[in-house]
Amino acid sequence: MLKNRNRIIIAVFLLWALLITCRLFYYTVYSRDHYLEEGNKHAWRSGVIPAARGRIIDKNGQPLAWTQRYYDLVIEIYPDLCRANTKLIGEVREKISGLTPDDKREKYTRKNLTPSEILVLKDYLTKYQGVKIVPRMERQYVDYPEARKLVGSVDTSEGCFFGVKGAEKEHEHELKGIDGVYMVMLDRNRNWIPGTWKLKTEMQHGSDVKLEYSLEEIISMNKNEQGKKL
Amino acid sequence: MNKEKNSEAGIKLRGTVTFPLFVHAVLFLLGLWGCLAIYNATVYSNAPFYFAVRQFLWLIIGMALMYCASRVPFKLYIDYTPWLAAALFIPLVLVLFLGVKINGMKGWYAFGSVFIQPSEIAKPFYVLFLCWIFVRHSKGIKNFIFLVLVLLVWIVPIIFQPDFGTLIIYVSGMVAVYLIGGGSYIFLLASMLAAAPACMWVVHNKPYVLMRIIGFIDPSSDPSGSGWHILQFQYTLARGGILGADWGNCLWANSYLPLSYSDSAFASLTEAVGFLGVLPVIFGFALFAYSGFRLADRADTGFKKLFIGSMTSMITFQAFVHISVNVGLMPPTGITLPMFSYGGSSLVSTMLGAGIILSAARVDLSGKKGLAGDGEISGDSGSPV
Repeated sequence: MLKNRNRIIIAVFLLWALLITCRLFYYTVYSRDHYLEEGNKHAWRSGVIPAARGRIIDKNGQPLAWTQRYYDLVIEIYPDLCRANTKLIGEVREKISGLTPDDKREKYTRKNLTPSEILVLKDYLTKYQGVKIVPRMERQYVDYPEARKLVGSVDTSEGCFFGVKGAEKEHEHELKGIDGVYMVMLDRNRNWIPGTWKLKTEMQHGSDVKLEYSLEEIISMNKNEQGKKL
Repeated sequence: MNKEKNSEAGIKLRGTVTFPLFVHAVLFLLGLWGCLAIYNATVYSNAPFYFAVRQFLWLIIGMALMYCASRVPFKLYIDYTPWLAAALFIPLVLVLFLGVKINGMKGWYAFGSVFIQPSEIAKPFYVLFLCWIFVRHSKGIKNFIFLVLVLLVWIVPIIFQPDFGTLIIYVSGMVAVYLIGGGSYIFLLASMLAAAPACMWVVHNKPYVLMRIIGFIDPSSDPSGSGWHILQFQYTLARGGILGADWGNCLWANSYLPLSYSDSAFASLTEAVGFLGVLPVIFGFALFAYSGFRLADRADTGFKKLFIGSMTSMITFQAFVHISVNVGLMPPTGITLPMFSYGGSSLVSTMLGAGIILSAARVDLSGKKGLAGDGEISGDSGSPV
């Protein structure tokens, strides 16, 4: 048999083991759903994959309006890392030109990176949290003011286009498409965790809209209208 | 005849397996289980086998050291205790000048890619020295003061590292020796009260200690700061569920849980194997404590009883503090889980301690008891041993 003092210590350890077991049961079984939900809320983030807006083409198939993707460099500045920031900005400026700060000097941007410039910046993306390459869509139009009037224009909301005038507004439903939605887990530094990316909603590009007139006809129609006015 | 049998093969379990063999096998399996847990906690990294393979190599070294330590006659340990203690204490001081800083703590010697933590290796010899001091002095306040002095001398370099997790383990070692040796509860309580101002000073002067306590009490008040670690423990355990989230599929342990292969080893293991999978770990350590105390009771001298009981208590205490932190019963302390957490020094120290326990468990038939039999310690039963 164990001596009295030893028995007390053994009893303390056994009670401790029992307490640990109860606590473990609480997290792994009893309140599991609550903590899983809480954890997922903190970890998972959803994002939108913008659908490319459809083209507007004339009756001969010539594009009058289309969407083009660009890549911008964004460097966010961390105020408490002054020396590191200066070094980083200096190094990036040596490699690419046109890096400009915002008014508060909290962010540096360089728009429309070329593929070779993206390759040059590859190492900085993994090394520094604040360095990002952000894709950006831009709506492009054929360079005829007469056609612009008929084609109309778009505005942006949360990175997505919506038609506000002309054919862009009239054919909004066909042009728009369906944005994709993804889910991904982020680590403590808000970086994506490899292997956790999931597609929730499939993205569908907008359809092309074909107008009844050719570009030449649109231009001549416009000229006639102006002539009548005069 | 029976005594002779015990001395040669150790204590028989059910007449077939000898106790030393049982301990070797159990510790090896635990260590192997630890290697798998480490692999699981680092599987998403660039080198998923790096930590696990290193740990396995340390396990092999630890097994060899445990065997050697168990074959050395316990009398030799007793005879050379002061020298062994001094040999282990000097590196503990020198590490403050020659060591390298990792995670803000100057507690490692670096030999290429191998890091040795002297405060871990010294643990069994520190307990041995405490026992040596305890049996040499008569009971009462004098005995207690000597133990406290030894403790203070050993923890000074640890405070300067600073490694408060190891500090707690060293204090627990001293308390174990004093309690198992039959020391007075009143002295212990009085010393705890006397230490309260020092604890308050630490909390006041080390803001991160206070932040850890606040984060422990209300983790959601600062979820990305002081409460982060506690919250991640909760989410990781929840993900484990009853049966676990499969090997190699432990997202939380690999992505969110800080130090998932050392300070958070238990939580990371729970994510992999679930509630049912980690129950054997908890009760394995409880069984280890029970077996240790049974072994202590059967030892033939007071010194051996004291050492076996104290060393067993210290290892079990360390394991239970680690697990308690991981299940949210205590604030984070930075204490590793013996045999499971990554770290060669910790593994070797535990196995060395187990080896010396096995050495002490052997019955000495030489008849010359010396100090091994001189130390009279008694439990509350009052029977001298």
